[in-house]
Amino acid sequence: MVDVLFVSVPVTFTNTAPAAPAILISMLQQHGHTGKFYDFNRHVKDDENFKRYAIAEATPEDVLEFDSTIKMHVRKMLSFNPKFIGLSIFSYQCQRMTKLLCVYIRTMSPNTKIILGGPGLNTGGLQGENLGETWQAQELCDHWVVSEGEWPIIDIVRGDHNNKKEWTQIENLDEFPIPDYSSYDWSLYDKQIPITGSRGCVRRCTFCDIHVHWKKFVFRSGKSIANEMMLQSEKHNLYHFVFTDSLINGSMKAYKEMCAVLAEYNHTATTKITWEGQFIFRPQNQMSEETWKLSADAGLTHVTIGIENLSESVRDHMQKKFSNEDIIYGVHCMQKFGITGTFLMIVGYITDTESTIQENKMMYQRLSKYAPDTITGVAIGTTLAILPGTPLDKMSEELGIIKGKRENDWIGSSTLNQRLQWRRELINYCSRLGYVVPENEEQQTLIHNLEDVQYA
Amino acid sequence: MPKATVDLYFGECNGTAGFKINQLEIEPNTLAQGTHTFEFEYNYGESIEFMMFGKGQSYRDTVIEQGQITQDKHVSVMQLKLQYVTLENWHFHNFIFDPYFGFDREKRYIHLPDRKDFPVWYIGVAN
Repeated sequence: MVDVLFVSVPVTFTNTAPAAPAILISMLQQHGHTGKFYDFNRHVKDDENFKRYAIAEATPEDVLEFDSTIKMHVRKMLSFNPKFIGLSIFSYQCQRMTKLLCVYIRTMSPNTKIILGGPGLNTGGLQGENLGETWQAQELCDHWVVSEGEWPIIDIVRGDHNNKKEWTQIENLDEFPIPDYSSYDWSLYDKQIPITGSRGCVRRCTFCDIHVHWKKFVFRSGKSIANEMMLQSEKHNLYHFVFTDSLINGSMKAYKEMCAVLAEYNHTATTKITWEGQFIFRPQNQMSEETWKLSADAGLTHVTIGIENLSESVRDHMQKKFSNEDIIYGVHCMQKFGITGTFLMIVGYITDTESTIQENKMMYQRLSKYAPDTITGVAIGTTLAILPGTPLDKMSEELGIIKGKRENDWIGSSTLNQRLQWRRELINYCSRLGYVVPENEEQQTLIHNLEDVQYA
Repeated sequence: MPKATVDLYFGECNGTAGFKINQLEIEPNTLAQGTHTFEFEYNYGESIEFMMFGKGQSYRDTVIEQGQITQDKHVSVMQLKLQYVTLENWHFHNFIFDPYFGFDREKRYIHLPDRKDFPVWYIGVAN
């Protein structure tokens, strides 16, 4: 018997173990309850029926095989004899499968209570409509949780939870126990452990909903993060960590403190700890070469950076707050200290024009000497999406933007067709310069759908 | 027994028709033209019967002008909320049956599977 069995819902493309269930399990344990994790998503990652149902929103090729696979997994879930099954919904691409999974659990075990949570319970970004209430009315679930689940999961198990859209952000992340991964099947993942050092973001970028959802940037002390890494690595014999944070160097004080502890540990350790995460470039006066060196000694191997656009004027409008010189300085330091990086890019921002696209090309040319060894990837997103609640969304009327049905489908100073054209142009240009431009299945599907919008 | 909620549109022409779903029965001429919501009970492994009645054969119940029906006493299923699934008018058109009832004593059925086979049925109709 287990109080809560957490289940990840297909389809999410990731090779990293999810962090949230382990955090909630440790929270349950600290309060005298029990929890375990079953990674349904990962078990069916190669099953085309699931991709077809969840992403393409179509009927699976083989419905009976699909049915028997789901029943087999639900039976496995029920073999834990859980009082509650907590479905972890990572993105909007898990929504269709979540509803179906609820139907299976309800029909196979009507007495098992269902809890829904995770960012995918909202549609259209973190500030979009929350589906919990609607699904509860359809009897698909008993409880739903908006945003952070640490306290609600305790309330639910104790029978003291009210389903509501309002939530209060946790301000002290250091008060929680270390995540418990003991029920994870590590053979399902790349050999790395997720870790969370902060929530929220220090920037207020116009296109982003992180700072709208998380009102404050809250972070753990550097020492606490480093201690968790040292403990988890020894416990699981895994020495590489992936940060789930929106940025790992939001607080330079905590960042340097963490690096100092890890660098000292690595100095004498037989197996060194390494880590990667999302990062912001800072000017030299905020992040010196010394700090870059300390980062490398502490085990930083790879950074994923939301550069977004290589035109300074576009980035200024976005409120990114770093210059092209800061980018060059950052990439230079990465190369010097053997750290690799992926650039995350947005094409077709509201102020993008033919001229800013040319500026991007010039900067790609300038940085091409770092590709593909230091800049190991340039992820060119699926054109600008105007997400609900973001500054861009609020400014859209003033900017003369006409919004369509999808977040990417809007008309302003450019059309979707033009933006898709710019995207193709930049992908080809970058590829010719020697950059690796990865495109995952999720992006391909969205682009395919957007092209359909254009020609419909 | 689970409860279902159904939204029915009653089209008026010389009054409104009667309609029956399982034990729920709406007498003819008791409702004004428009959409009305009702509750009824159903069971897994059984069929739900939908039937319109109280429509005459006469020209008064269906007005035809220049070969086109311009007014018709009819009932259309707009939405059906069963346990776990909400079926809209377009779901009926695509996966279940024509939701427009225009003939007297016209019957249509939803054959609900038992709980064990319900998910496969759900996959088929909830797309």
